[in-house]
Amino acid sequence: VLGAAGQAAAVGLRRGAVTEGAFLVDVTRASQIFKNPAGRGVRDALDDFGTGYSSLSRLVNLRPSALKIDRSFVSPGRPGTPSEAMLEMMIAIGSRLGMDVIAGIETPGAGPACRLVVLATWSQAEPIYRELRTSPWMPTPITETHAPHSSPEDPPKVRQLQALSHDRRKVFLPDSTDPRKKVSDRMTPAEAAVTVEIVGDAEVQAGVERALKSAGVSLNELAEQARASRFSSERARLVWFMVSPVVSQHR
Amino acid sequence: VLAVSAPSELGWSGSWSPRLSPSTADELQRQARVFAGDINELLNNTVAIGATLSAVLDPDNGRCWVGLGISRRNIGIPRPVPLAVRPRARPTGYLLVAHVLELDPEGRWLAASKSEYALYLDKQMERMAFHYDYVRQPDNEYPAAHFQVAGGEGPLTKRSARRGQSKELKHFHFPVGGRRFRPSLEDIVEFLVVENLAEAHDGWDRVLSDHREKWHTRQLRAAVRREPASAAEELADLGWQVQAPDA
Repeated sequence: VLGAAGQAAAVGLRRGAVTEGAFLVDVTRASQIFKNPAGRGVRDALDDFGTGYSSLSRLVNLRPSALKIDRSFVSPGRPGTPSEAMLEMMIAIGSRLGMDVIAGIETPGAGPACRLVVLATWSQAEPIYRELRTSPWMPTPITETHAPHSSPEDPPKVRQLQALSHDRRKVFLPDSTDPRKKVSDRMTPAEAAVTVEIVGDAEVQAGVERALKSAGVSLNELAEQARASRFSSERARLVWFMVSPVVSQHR
Repeated sequence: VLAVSAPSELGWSGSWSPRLSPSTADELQRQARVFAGDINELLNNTVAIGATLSAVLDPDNGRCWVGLGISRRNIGIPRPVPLAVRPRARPTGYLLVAHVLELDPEGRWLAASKSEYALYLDKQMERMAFHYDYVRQPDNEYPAAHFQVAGGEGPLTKRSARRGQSKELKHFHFPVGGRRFRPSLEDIVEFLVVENLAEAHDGWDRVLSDHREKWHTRQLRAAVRREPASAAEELADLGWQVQAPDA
């Protein structure tokens, strides 16, 4: 979301040199609106601004509280193109009119120049939400699991959000100083983008067995290769690197 | 930790370190997240784009795996990070960055029980160019921190053949600084850029310098924790007044 601080961030984005501070502001704001759009003053948003029926005149007539720029203007790797100039202009218009400006996102492969924080209106969030899962700038990882209190009738995205708040182990960390506050709120974007999964003994064992199978070796063979530091393949060497802490001798 | 003297009797072990308390497990998780975030930031501002390392934490046994593509279904085969700084550019190589982490004996600081930095020429990781390994408790007689490089026949291979132990260059384990003073990931990234093995983002050297400083500080602090007497002695020589905690 590119609000008051958005123009500076946008200029930085265009040059691929956004400061961490600018991103932090945007990520936090995006996250807040995502979780509680009404409570954050987002009543309605003009979708796909810049294309088709989403014109400047509608912007004047409707005066939405948020402006969603069509994703075609946020394509990757095209510095100096007309689209980029348009993007900058649309951000300026929205900011001038006091609107939240919502931009599309690109996946990590698009490179740092296009890591815009992304937010969509509720009605169109699903596809972008899926892309967010792999974004390095996503404030919290998205899980596929559903919270017990989810109803099958709930929209998929609502269920995901419920799961986010429920599945503490995957998404939230307890904050030792303030239990009401998520640690994710204190993270830098780079930290927040790291998915941490919690596993138990059974899953570790299954993981070890899968890895051994993929390398085509038994545990004993691998241990023998490790002792001599002569592995049958690079994969075998890697598997040993990863799994050796969880094996031991049984006499 | 494994001792490999009787390989026929190996098996899977559920526990090799004490079960972590919930608060300690949370601390490990927090520090692992920061650690992986640091690596993401370093790589994505120097020789890569969009690299997002992940972590799998086993709180019952105090272990944490960190690498690209690591998940609860895949703790065994991390993926390498493509070396490219533009979206559609062909990678010049593939850098594997993988760690197995735990908390130090005091349960406060993150410690690497293993680290692996390897350069591959292919995404499938079949053609290894070199790798730096660190294994705190080695499985064999080779140095805890060592370097191995692929290469053809040369003086070393000829000499070893003459001594009746024929082996390829990639099987030599060059020691690199021991546990505390081993090369950092920053050193490997710098090598890749300086030797023109990878393209770099603008400003990579500044990012590298910042991260390297953090690494040195972290290692120095760890060294002081392990050798407080030496640290106190050195500080006293410099005119500091240092008092032992039980004095």
